[in-house]
Amino acid sequence: MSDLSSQTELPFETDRRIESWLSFLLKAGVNLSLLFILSAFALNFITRQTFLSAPDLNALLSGQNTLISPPPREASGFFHALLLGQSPAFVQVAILILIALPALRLTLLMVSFALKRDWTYMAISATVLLIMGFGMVMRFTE
Amino acid sequence: MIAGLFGALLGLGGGFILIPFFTLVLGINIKYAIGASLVSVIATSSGAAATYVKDRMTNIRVALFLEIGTTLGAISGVILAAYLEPAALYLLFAVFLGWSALAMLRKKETQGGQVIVKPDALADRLRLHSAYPGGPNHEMISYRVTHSQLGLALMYVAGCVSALLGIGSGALKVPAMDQAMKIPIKVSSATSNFMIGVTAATSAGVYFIRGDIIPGLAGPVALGVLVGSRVGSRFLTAWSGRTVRVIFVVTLFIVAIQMGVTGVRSLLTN
Repeated sequence: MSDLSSQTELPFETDRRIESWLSFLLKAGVNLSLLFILSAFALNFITRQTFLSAPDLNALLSGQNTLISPPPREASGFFHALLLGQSPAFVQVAILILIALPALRLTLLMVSFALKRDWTYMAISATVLLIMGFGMVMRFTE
Repeated sequence: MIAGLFGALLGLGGGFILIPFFTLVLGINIKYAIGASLVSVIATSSGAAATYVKDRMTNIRVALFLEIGTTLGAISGVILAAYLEPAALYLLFAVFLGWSALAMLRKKETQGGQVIVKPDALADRLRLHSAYPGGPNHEMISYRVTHSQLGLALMYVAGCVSALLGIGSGALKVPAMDQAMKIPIKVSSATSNFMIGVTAATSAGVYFIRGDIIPGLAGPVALGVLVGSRVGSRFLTAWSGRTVRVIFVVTLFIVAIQMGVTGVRSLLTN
């Protein structure tokens, strides 16, 4: 057994609760995302849909940079496709969950450290979240 | 699935497998290939992190501290992209990754007992030191983190390079933690894995809004990667540090060669 004499200084015991919340959030997010992807595959199987139309599949495999029917970009079109049970919309929900997870876990860490009154790490989590948001806005307005 | 397995095991994004496969083998346009690859990075990161955090492999304090560097670096990379010549950068980093691979290969794994590292006041203040289940029977081994400022600077460079070249996020993060900060290889890999999700999610959000993430491509990729990352995360816990190191070094050489070839190609076409 290794030297753990400085155990009181190590955060691995005091951070246990935060780590279990974090693990739960990530697991829940990933499982939810998986559920939507599997539902999309099931929809394809049951309703004989495909993720891509034959012309779009050809366009994709021939290296083209535009598709005939690209995924809906407006929220209304997206929800409409979801309500109609279109499988690509289900995959999009799964991808949105995956994209949101890193920001959600940073938010969770920020709140958890605030509850522990660990202001340094609360500030670090908030800073990373802010830079991440700024980066997204900056890249989108490029 | 293979991308997820390697990604989870080595703390890499998996883009080094997916992007060449999509563009060279399937002939898919690079923007759609990057879009799907970004989804694979986030899926690997969150998929494996759920296990690593629970198993105490990830050092969340180190991850949060270093994410300041990677996110700031990514923003700088986007700005610098307009001014820098990518061909030279590809070659420079091919050499750097090759050198990192050699240095990582030479480092000996310690079994049990703390590694004596140079005292680091910032690491003490931020309480970056921790412990991980690295013993032969998965017992906890404590470790101390050093050169935290150098680590932060290297993460800034890693973030910058990732944004400039689109690859190399994990390939630079793991050697920086392993070599400079003296963090055990398994913790470096798990912590890198945890971190890559943040920068990839920022880019993926933009690709998603622009409509460059095609569900027909990203859906099967995400499914395969989520399954692969679960399998890969089991291997990291079970395998010895030495095994993980050897696999990482071989992969690093492959990425270095890929970067070198891309660099030479860009030089020849210019």
